[in-house]
Amino acid sequence: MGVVVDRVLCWILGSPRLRKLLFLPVALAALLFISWSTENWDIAYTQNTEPRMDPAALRKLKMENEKLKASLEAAAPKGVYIVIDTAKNRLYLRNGPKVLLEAVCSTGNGKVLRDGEKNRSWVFDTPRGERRIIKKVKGPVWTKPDWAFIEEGEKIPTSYTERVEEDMLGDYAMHIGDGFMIHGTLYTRLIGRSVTHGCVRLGDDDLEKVFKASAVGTPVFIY
Amino acid sequence: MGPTAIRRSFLVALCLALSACSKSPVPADLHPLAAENKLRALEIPLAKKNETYTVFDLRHRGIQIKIRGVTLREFRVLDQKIHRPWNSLASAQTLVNKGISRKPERTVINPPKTPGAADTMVERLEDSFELEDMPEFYTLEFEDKDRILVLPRSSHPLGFLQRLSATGVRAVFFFNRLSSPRSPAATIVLSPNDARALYWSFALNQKAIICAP
Repeated sequence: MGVVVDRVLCWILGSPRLRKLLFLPVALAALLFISWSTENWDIAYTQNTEPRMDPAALRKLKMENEKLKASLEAAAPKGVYIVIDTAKNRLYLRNGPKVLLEAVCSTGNGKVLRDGEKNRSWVFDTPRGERRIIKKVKGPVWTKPDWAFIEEGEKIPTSYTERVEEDMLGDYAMHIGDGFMIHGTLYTRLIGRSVTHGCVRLGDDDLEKVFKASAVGTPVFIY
Repeated sequence: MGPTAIRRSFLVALCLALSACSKSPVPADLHPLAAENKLRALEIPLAKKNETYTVFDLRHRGIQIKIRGVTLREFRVLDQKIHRPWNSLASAQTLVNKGISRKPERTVINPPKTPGAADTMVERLEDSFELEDMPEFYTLEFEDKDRILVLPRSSHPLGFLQRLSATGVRAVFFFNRLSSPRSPAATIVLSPNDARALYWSFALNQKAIICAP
């Protein structure tokens, strides 16, 4: 194709310098044209009127439709639930389809930490799927896990008291299992970015609202 | 043949012609409700689990990330092309591969040798694994060899540059499709942000339902 473009340019322009200058834009334009002309998208499906059907068969389909809808609705959560969008770093408090609160949050940074000594590793993702609030705590303290020491190059302490750090998690925390929590933070300027080690961080006001609106057993959907 | 007979013949012929012109009833399994019922029937067992699943409703040009029957996020399909149609109104699949030229990489933290050498309190944003690191062009390959190519379309003035990259990706997808000549395949176009978000949210081994026109 390059030879063809060069020949065409030579024929049009004559001057070798102009030919070299215009080669790339003309090649790109040719590629764009080929791309545009080979695109052949489907026409959107439209249904203007309901197609005619045997009334008995249609009734049967409608009954089956109602039954299936009811089964699907039975699987849906009842009451308030929490949705965490890790792509957008947003937390939603919902009741059915209604959004009661939209809050900016921080979720896992996705980094990998390896402990060469004991041959273990951690991936700092916020876990996806369905969880439930298993415990609600006012004035939580952070019990530093092993990775927090390894990450800083520090020796893992043997006593529990050496792991405890106060005032790191804000005023409230909601445990969602496996050590993960929804809690507050000192680093409020970073809320909205993926900076945590897997937990979900909220600003103080939003944290209080979510804490007060949810209960132990409230579903938390993370995706 | 008298005038009465001619009139009668004409009326009979007219009735026959009109009945031939009117639409014949749609078979039950082609009615839109049948497609919806099939979709719901496949969705119910997935809704009973505690994992997200993705519904590709190509009939109505939408993609939903769902859990327990609740839509968490919805993407609008801007354009689509069904290269090879699906055999049934809806089918349940498992995602086995997200194929592209470059998979996003995670930062590996190397713990410092001396304590306090790394200031982990200062969180470095540039190392984080975020939505912006996700690709905009990629293929989704399912367990039955079904394939969907996802392309972005931007309204940005420099969006034509995406079209250039898309040409190469479309060519690669075309040759990939040749390796499974009987398997359904489609191309869908999303906004760049939606394309990245779908890649982020739709993880390997997750279930999907594809409802094709």
